[in-house]
Amino acid sequence: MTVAAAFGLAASLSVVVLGDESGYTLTDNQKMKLAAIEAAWHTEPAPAGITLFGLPDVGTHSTRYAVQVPWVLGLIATRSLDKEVTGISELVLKAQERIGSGMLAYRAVQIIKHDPQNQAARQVLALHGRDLGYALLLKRYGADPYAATEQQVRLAAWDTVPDVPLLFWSFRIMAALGICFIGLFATAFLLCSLRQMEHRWFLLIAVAAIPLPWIAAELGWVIAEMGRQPWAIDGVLPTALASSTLSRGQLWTTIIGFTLVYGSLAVIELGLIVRTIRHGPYGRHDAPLPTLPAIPAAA
Amino acid sequence: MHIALDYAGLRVIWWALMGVLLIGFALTDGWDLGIGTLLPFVARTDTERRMAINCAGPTWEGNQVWFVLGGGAIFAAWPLVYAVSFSGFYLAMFLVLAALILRPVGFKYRSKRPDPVWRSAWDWALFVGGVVPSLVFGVAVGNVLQGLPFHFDSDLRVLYDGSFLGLFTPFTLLCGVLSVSMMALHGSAYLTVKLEHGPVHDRARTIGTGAAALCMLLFVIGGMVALWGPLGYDITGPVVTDGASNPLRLTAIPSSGAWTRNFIMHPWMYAAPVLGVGGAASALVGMWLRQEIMTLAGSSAATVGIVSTVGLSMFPFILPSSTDIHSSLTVWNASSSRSTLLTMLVATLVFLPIILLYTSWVYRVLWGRVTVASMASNPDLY
Repeated sequence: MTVAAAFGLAASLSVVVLGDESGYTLTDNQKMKLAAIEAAWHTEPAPAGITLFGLPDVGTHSTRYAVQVPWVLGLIATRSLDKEVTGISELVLKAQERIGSGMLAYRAVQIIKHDPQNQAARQVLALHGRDLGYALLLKRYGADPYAATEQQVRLAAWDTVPDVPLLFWSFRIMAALGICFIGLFATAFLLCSLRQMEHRWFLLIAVAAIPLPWIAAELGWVIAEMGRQPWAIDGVLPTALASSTLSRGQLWTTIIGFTLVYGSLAVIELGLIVRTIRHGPYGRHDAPLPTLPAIPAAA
Repeated sequence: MHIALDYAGLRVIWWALMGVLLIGFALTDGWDLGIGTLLPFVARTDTERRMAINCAGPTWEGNQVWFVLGGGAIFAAWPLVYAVSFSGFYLAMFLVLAALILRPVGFKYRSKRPDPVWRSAWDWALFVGGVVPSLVFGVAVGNVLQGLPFHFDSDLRVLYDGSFLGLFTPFTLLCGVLSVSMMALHGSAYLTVKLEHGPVHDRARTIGTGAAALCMLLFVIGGMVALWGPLGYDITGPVVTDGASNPLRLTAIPSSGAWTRNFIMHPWMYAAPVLGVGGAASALVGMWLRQEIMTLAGSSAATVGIVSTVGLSMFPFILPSSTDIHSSLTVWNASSSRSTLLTMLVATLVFLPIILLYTSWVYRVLWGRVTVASMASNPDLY
């Protein structure tokens, strides 16, 4: 028990370090995810404050009733007091520029498809090629991204913003659970050290806490996957173009099929578990196996 | 033969490695699938069934990993092949997975309760877990030989033009039954080596003899279809073997008999079909003469020969398209980048020998026969 409590405490503490490290990587690689998690609608003067609570409002691009702690986000994200954390609106402007550049690249690719030796088109592609993925965001609004209107470009630029309230709350609940785990394991460790583990209230809390790590892990998964929308590969391949072209019928068949297979197996498994529990932990010792003859030597 | 480590050479190496991994799967998990398929027929009483199951018992999990490894290698080395085949065979793949999921629980749950209804239900689960994957793999290979109904649009998205029922044609069913008989032969050959002599051993020999004959017959019919039937594709345009992987540049035509042309151009390739037929024949003779090692060597040779024949006959095609031949995937247009192939080759050269080493060590340790006596005395058995 003491070992488990100590290990739990060490693990829940190290999650904080790992989380900080991955937050720092987001600053470099997935600025939009970070901005959405923090509901940072605009770039703030460095060092940015962290919003503990608030109601992100997608319509007005603002967070109502925000409770902010100054400096903290700047420290976590940039590990400095003078670097800015780019806000959502500024990132959208940047995306809009890249979509414009990507449209040129897309047209160049169309020309090269028919005329592989076209040097002018190849030069345009070399210049704008790294924004090609951004032009593909326009596929939502029409088959030919190059024909997109300014309004559509603006819409596509805002499409690069993931679901802010979802990320904001998923992250906060996950982080709060993480802090609860530290408290739980610290308490457990303390009680173990004092040989006081039998407190009923503590045992009840411990059992009630069993599903929480899964909830925290699922929320982390939601943040990772929803936070990178609309990209399958950030800046390169939009999710809508990365998915397969299978029909809804096929997808429903396998969703229902796998649910049935795993559902039946889960029922069977639970039945076996309940049987084993009823059998009791000392079942084997109650009726020991008869003394066995030696296993015959392999022929 | 000299193979340079340039892009083209690496592509050929990874094409061959894909074959090696799939053969590794067919060879090792083949006998587990075969034993599952044969279970209701070779073994009748509970003890007999447990004997057959425990022949595969300690090794089936490791064997199954060749399937994962093969899938993983295709994903990394042939991403387009992976995308087209896994989505193109979507419902078939679901069927295989659902059946393969029944196998581990069949092995593990069966012995948890003595109830005969319980045990018999799991025996049927093991049967389904053996016969369905064997059949679907064969049908899938048949479809690959025929060409799959898919095409790329100009953004390189894959579109599928076929249906699940469209996968089943007389030729693909022939390939499916060939695959089942090949696995059943391999499984019964393994049983003759792993079981002590007795009724189960006798039935394995009888059924194995039939499976060997069927396997040989269907393989030869398949060869005749390849010779004279409407099967095969030819590349017509210029081939760039070390260009970027772009499947929109291919020009090809359907061409009857094209799948036999490689053998005529490179006679050494005849080794594969000869091994296929000869292996099955020697397994058959081995069953008859009660030469168990000869039987297992024969069924292994048949497996290697039959799978290699398919791969060699289609080279350089990997997945031809039946609805838009120009979308076909070949060794030259479907691989990942040169540096990916090179990095993975280095990793493979280190790890594949290690895997082979410990796998053979495990089989050496477990060498010996499963006996009736061990069923009663060994509590570790399923």
